[in-house]
Amino acid sequence: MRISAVPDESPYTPLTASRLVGSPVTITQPDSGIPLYLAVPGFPFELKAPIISLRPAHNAVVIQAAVDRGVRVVLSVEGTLIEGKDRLQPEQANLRIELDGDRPRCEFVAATLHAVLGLATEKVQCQVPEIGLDLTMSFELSPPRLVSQMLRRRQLGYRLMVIERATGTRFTLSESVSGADAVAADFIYHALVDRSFVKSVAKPVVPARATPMWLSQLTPYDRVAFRKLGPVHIAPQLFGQPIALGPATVIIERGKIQRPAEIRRELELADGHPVDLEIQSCDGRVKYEFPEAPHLPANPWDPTVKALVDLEPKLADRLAERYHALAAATLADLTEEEKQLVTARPELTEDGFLDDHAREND
Amino acid sequence: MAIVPALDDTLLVLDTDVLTDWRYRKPHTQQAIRNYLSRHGRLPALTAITVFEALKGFEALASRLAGLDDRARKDLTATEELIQSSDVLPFDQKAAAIAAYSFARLSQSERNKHWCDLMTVAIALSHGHGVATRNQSDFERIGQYLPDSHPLLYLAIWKS
Repeated sequence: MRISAVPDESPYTPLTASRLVGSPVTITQPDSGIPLYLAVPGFPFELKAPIISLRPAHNAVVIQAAVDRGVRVVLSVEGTLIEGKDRLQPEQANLRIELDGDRPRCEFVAATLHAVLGLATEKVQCQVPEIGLDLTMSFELSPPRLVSQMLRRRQLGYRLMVIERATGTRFTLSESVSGADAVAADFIYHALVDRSFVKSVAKPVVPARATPMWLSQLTPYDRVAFRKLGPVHIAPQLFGQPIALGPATVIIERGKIQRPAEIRRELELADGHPVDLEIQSCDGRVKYEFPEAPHLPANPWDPTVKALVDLEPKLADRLAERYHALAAATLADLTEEEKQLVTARPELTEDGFLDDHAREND
Repeated sequence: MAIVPALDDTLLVLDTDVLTDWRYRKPHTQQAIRNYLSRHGRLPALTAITVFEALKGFEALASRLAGLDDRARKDLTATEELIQSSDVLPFDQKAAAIAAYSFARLSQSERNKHWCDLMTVAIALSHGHGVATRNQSDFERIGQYLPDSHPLLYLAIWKS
């Protein structure tokens, strides 16, 4: 499995304003660093981004502003030139997010901003007071699947940022992130943040050593038993780097050792060589404890990142509302009798034929 | 050969009954979907069987009414959009093997009544997912007959 993180074709598609109200803009080269303001009602978030460039084009102006390191917002405004061709009456606009960095933070910031704009149900305000730009825009809502993709990119970016800060590592995102790296990032993130967590795993592999301690710790070998194993040194590989998490304890409530006779023989060698233990968890859960894993600093984020992190519940709420509306629309126009028919479960009769009426929405 | 409770990290498919609850705007289902979205950044998946059931409902209506009017067509379009917004897990070779094992061990009446649930379980297991359902007992029955290759079915009970 591969999860595309930075694919060839950017997922950061332009957002086109379906309705726009704006006063005339003065087309002039502004002083370096003057800000572009972006406010999205419904989200506790306002963007103030220094302008990098303002480029006049035919009946248009393109403004690029730096949102964060490696992330730009590009506003294209088209309209009619008025008053001696140095003023533009806006008629159309689109906004897009551009990445020119490959760090997790770039991905986190860009995906968050794109998700916010894609979920904006109210009018977005964009201003550059120094040139008289004051646009009120309504964007077409992004398809929920695209927003969902943004939330996953955001989540992965954030987890990698946490791992970087806590462990002092540094990652660059290549064209795609493998499923194995995404799984490793999830595991390491929980080890650092939760420190004790339960995962649904049917057959965990525990790295042991052929020592007398392990030999005695694994009794009974031949039956299901409570297993508290450790200390275990688990250092998952993330983008080819082993991430040290300190000694861990692995707890399996009802664990059965796989290939017990073979494992016992290996441990009895007592020469310290590595032995991978495969243990079946009969209830499908494994608890991991990492009491000495590295910590995040007390205040790990600057105000920009913190503001974007705090948007998480709002983003989930807004996306859920979109999906709920879509699910409800699948029955919205039907009569009660039609709904019953449309949602009836198919059963086979004794003759083996489908019967639509057997389990109508039980 | 057991049913076990789904955990926060368990990827899930929606059983058709849960999908129906969601379409009926049941608050407990909406809350469960919202929580899942927050944890995973995506909807629970649908199986090809649930897609079959959802589309079959409209085909049954079309058959009865000799076609769909604008109202029903609008709701069918929304259904297709919902399906496209979801990950749809296919009934593949691995799922077929799981389904064959379980199907052969159920009674005739259980097969007749639960064949869609059985296919849902087989698809979920073959793709490393659990099932979100409100019909615990039906799935517990199927869970008694899982092959050694996939002995555990993670179940999330979503009901009020």
